[in-house]
Amino acid sequence: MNKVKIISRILFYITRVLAFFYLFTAAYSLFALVTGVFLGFRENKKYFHVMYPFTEKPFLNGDYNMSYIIFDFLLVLGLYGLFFLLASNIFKVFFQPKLFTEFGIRQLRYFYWANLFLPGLTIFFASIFAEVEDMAVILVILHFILGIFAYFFAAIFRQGLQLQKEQDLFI
Amino acid sequence: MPIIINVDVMLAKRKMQSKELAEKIGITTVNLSILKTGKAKGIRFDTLEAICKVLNCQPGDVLEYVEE
Repeated sequence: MNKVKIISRILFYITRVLAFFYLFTAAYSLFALVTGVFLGFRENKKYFHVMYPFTEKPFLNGDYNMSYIIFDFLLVLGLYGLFFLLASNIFKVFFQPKLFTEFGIRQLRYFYWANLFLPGLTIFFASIFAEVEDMAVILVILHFILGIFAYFFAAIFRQGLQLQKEQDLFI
Repeated sequence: MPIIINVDVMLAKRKMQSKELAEKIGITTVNLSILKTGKAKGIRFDTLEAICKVLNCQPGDVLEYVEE
């Protein structure tokens, strides 16, 4: 169990940093696109660059049209930020003093709901306004499978919590 | 549950407080309270042994069967 705690703690920090990186990038890109600050263009505004702050060096590039900006750029960054945030909370569960807790079950529930439905819904709405790439569909399927695994994990945790509560009543 | 825990009776006989007993047998006062109020699902042999040792009594002095 000690090894699990070490690995989960490392993964918690990695995913938490990734989450903040993605969420910060999404917020920063939104700011740049709305205000035009730290924003550059190429080929007669066909493509945009979000620059590194206070520089002219491109940080992120994309097509300069609304459907691409919303569905292929901002939403992807934001949702992956959310994914890593939820994943970090799952890893956090595994280095707590008690493994089976209400907190753990709640985190798993958030994670499986987000993985089961958010990618599919996003692709569905994206397909109305823009062309959806095959890779995106594969990602939706992978997240759905991850969601199913998390759903079964949550069921195991629920059973574990019940057994632990009973065990706690053996003095 | 038809099994009654008579720790309170024994504590009174030995003029000992719950807190002292909990400390001596190495369980928390919360767990001792769970035991005394009959909320416990079971009692471990080593807990029973420790109670008997500290209160200088037999398991039968602590546990009682009462038909429902």
